[in-house]
Amino acid sequence: MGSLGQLIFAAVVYVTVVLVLGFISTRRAGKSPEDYFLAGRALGPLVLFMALFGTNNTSFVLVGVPGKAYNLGIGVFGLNAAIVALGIPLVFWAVGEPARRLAKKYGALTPAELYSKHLGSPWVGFLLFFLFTLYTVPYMTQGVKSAALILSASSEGQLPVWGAALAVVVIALVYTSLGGMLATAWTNVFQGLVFMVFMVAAFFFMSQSLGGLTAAMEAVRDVSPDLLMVGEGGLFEPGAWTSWGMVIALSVVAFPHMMVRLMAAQDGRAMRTVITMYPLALALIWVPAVLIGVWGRAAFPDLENSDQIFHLMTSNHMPAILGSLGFLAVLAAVMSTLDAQILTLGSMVMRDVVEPLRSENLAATVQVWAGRIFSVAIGILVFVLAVSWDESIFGISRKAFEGYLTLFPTLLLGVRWSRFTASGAIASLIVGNTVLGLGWAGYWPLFGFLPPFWGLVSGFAAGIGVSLMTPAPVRD
Amino acid sequence: MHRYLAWAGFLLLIFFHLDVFWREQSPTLYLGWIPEEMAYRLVWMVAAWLYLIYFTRYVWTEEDV
Repeated sequence: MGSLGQLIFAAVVYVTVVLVLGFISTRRAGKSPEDYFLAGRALGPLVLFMALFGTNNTSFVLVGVPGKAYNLGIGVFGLNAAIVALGIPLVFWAVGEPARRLAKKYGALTPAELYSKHLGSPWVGFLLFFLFTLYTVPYMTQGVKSAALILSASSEGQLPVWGAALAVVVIALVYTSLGGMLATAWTNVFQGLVFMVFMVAAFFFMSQSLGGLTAAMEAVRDVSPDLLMVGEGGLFEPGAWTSWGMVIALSVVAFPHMMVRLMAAQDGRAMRTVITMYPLALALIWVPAVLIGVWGRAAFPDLENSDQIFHLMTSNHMPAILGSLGFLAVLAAVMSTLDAQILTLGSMVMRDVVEPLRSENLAATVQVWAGRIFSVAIGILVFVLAVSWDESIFGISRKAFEGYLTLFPTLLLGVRWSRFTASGAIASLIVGNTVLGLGWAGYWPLFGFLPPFWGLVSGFAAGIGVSLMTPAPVRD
Repeated sequence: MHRYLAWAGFLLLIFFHLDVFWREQSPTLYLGWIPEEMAYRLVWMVAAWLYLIYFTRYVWTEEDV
């Protein structure tokens, strides 16, 4: 069987499993919007963990991180993996847990709807919807782009990049439309297992192929000992290191597709379990991801596009049958995030924009179908961007993460500070994003920090300042 | 008491994460293959994991109503 034949066979098996899981979930899912978008708020510890972990870890980790480690070395691990092992679980507690309880109380299905109802202003919902969408589209784009690049490379160019991108978007749209949150949660269990097992297998097989762990690492030390240390300049400067730590650790709870999963948790016990499992699972996939890039620098020293290193290493340093399936791990990681993003944006447009502007409630089936139609429109936009946006996977992801960070002050203060007002939230979002934009454009003094650091600081300052200047809210 | 301990533990972990301000780098390989930098981070992650176990047991006291 040729490479395209193997690729198609593996893809058909994978897609069949995903679609069957989606179909089974459809039969089990209820018909209400709450059942469709939040799985009836009943995700238990294991499914919740896999849904969150599968959604959180996308091609950014499997393709972008090896590409970055290829250029910058082992320091990429400390820059990203270590701090998220602490930061993500703590923001799940600080923001996710109270948001889950409040969402249940208000019957909210989306993060923007929750904050809009809790703070008592539809404008908070409109603004959050706009910003969530603005930063989720590039995040979706990097996923589709990386999956398309790997799929096309795995077929040795027989499958064009545009065709691969189209296939990824269409498959994710189909099974997400079938069963909603329950389908995506269960498919995430399968997809998460696929890419976790693959990364562990890659670690062992690649090191063996490179002559053992010691030989693989000594080869890197011979080529460039600097790769075994934290580098100098760029993200490794102390101010940038501090800023990026905040970006990578705090922004996760501002991903709307992560927040809705937290809102779908069964109870606090499920949340606690997730929090204690997270650091170990992160180490399990981040160690191989970084080492693939570092080892790749010795094995393929002159790459122009470092995003290719995952494909080159899996296809040249793993057993043929496993190596040719490397794309499945990327596909699983991408689709487990993409489905959550499609579902979330679909629910957001109805709950956060259309519903607040109408005087009467829409029928439940109309809400679900309108969400599906918006999801298709977003899918088309992401497809166009994926085949036309010429930037690295890490670079596109970075834009999204930095933008998401500006939402953190509102998300935290909104559920943890009783004095926080709707005006404070609006001020925080506008000021934080304006400062970020000025920083990106070079019009804001950075003093060694990254633009999102100042977006975060100014967002907190504006949110707290304006809240204290406006009348205290009256809540139950 | 547990809240103070949790804050102290959190600040300690952040201090050790911001080692780029004060730690000397070396290309030493532990056990023949683990770069010193990665070994340091892995130990830090284990400490963070233990911290989170403590946190969920003694600090996170909110329950569903």
